[in-house]
Amino acid sequence: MKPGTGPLLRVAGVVPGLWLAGFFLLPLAFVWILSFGEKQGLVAVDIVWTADNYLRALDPLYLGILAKSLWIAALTTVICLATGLPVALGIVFAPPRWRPLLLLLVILPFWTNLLIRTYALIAVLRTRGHVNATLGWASELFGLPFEPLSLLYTNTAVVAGLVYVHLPFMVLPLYATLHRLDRSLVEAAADLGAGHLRVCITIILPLAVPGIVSGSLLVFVPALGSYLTPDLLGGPDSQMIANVIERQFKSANDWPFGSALSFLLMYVTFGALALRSLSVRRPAAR
Amino acid sequence: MTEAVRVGGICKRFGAVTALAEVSLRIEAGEFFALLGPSGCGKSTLLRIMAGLEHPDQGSVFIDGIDVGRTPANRRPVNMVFQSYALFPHMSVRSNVAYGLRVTGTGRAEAHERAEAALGLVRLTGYGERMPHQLSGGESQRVALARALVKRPRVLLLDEPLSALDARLRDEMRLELVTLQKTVGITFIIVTHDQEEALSMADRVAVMETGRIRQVAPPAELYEAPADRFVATFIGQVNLFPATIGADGTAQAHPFPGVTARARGIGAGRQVWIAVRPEKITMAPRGGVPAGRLSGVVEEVVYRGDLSVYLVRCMAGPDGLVRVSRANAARTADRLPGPGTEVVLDWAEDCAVVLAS
Ligand SMILES: Nc1ncnc2c1ncn2[C@@H]1O[C@H](COP(=O)(O)OP(=O)(O)O)[C@@H](O)[C@H]1O
Ligand SMILES: [Mg+2]
Repeated sequence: MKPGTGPLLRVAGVVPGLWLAGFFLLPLAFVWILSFGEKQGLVAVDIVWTADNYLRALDPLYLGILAKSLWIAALTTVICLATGLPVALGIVFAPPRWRPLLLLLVILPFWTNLLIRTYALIAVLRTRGHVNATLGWASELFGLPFEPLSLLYTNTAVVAGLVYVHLPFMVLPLYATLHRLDRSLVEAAADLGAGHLRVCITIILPLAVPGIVSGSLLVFVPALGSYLTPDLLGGPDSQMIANVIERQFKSANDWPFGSALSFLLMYVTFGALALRSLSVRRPAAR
Repeated sequence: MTEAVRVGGICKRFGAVTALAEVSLRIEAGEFFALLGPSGCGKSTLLRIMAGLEHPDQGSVFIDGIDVGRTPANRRPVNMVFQSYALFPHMSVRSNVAYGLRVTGTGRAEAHERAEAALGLVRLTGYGERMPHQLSGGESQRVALARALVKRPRVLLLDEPLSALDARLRDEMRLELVTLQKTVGITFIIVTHDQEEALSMADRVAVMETGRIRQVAPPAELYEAPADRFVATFIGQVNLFPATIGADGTAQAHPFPGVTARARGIGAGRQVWIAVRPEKITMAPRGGVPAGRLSGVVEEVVYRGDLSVYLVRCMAGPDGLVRVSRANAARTADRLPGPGTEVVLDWAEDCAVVLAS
């Protein structure tokens, strides 16, 4: 660093620091303190430094919902990976002039409000929706009997919605990693006799691990905490942990318990992040 | 002799760039062949077309007499050593070398055994456990060689294999590559922009310029009988005198009456060039014996250790400098003619070559 730029940079660092403190750390601290409180009446909360809220959060009922949330988020991540990898590969190996357009198609849904996209998905999945209409038309064509599937308000609908919403978060990091991959490695593998599938499994996949890890994390963490999608697409048994938290803050009006549940979710998320740093450190140690 | 590779009428364009224009070439089995040319002339593209990594717009590729136009890269009996070596960073040296055997169905034990043997061939015994990032440039290069050779290809393609090495290592590797080629008896096709590399290693050299082949010849022929001005100037140093073919079929340089050369098969009146290599020219102080072909004044002397290069001004203007090089056979530099010495230049008649274009 040049001597003259030191103070300036220090000042420049203060602004985001204040931002982080004011809009992230402070509210978080507030919620953290709240989670040790006790509900008194309709709005009042006494901070009595009790662990009761956490103990209550460890009740099998809530742990079950947390486990289910983890399962749905994991399933979403796996499906995103399975679909995102071919998409990213397709974009990387597409002719260069097509790439910006293909990337744009991946990003395009971001430009639409999540709520609108979710309602659109309702129109696709409902009993008289587009999926059933297409299936009905197809079975009529082949003269088969057709009973409309009930797709909406199921766990399947929740996973489908989460995959739809989070797919770009998987595709983009995968694309970034694969794009940086040295093309001559792929050529060398082909030159040595490997077919396309062999090249994918033995060369591309192992070298794409950093992208797979960041993509999976970018999908898993928000999917775990997702609230709108299970709320709108899910049935009575498909609520996720964020829906429970929301209920504590609103209808149940139990802020301390909601705070404790929030922190529980955050600790689980930290666990996922810790797993990631482990998986990143391993190759370097070799 | 049997042919190893034959390409015919290869054309390849990248957008507006013509990388190869009608390239035809025949390479014999067991040959050490070099593709030589300046950067961007299409050497790598030609090599990659042979490997099947690039597809020509036109033309055909035969390997061992078989048309491989529709054979994908992974089924061609050729292997490539990439300019960047392209070692798989997530595999050990042994796995890298064994890769080509494993993917074509060789069992693990046999593949590893043959990989070790190939590593021995390039003098890297005991390196099997290392990872590519633990290797020096020279070692990486030899792993890349072993990885290709272990497949026992009909033809080994090497794209600028020595360009990433430092000068001393490069000299060593040149010799090693030649020895290796003789040992394994595989046809080697090497791409290089370094004329010295091509001349010192190859049995035959193809000189390329902007997508075309200018001349294919053994190194000595390339140097002593270049086909045109491009080849003459690209390989070594040369003095070029503009000349005209006279009625008797002799080329006569314009401002220099003493500079003549016998031309064969070029019509009278044609504008040509007479080329004379600097080391073919003898130099003597003026006033001595015969008059010589040219006379001039030494303008500059460049001492190069084994030889000295003299720039002799025979005429005013940029074309009036003649380059002469003399081996420094005597030990003391005092005896060399210094700048300002008046000298006469001469050469044997057959040392002057007529270039039609
Ligand atoms: N994949 C490619 N896309 C576009 N242009 C290319 C590509 N490969 C090579 N070229 C162009 O073709 C010409 C020949 O390239 P190349 O065969 O690599 O030359 P060399 O190996 O002799 O330096 C160059 O002008 C280069 O820019
Ligand atoms: Mg090249």
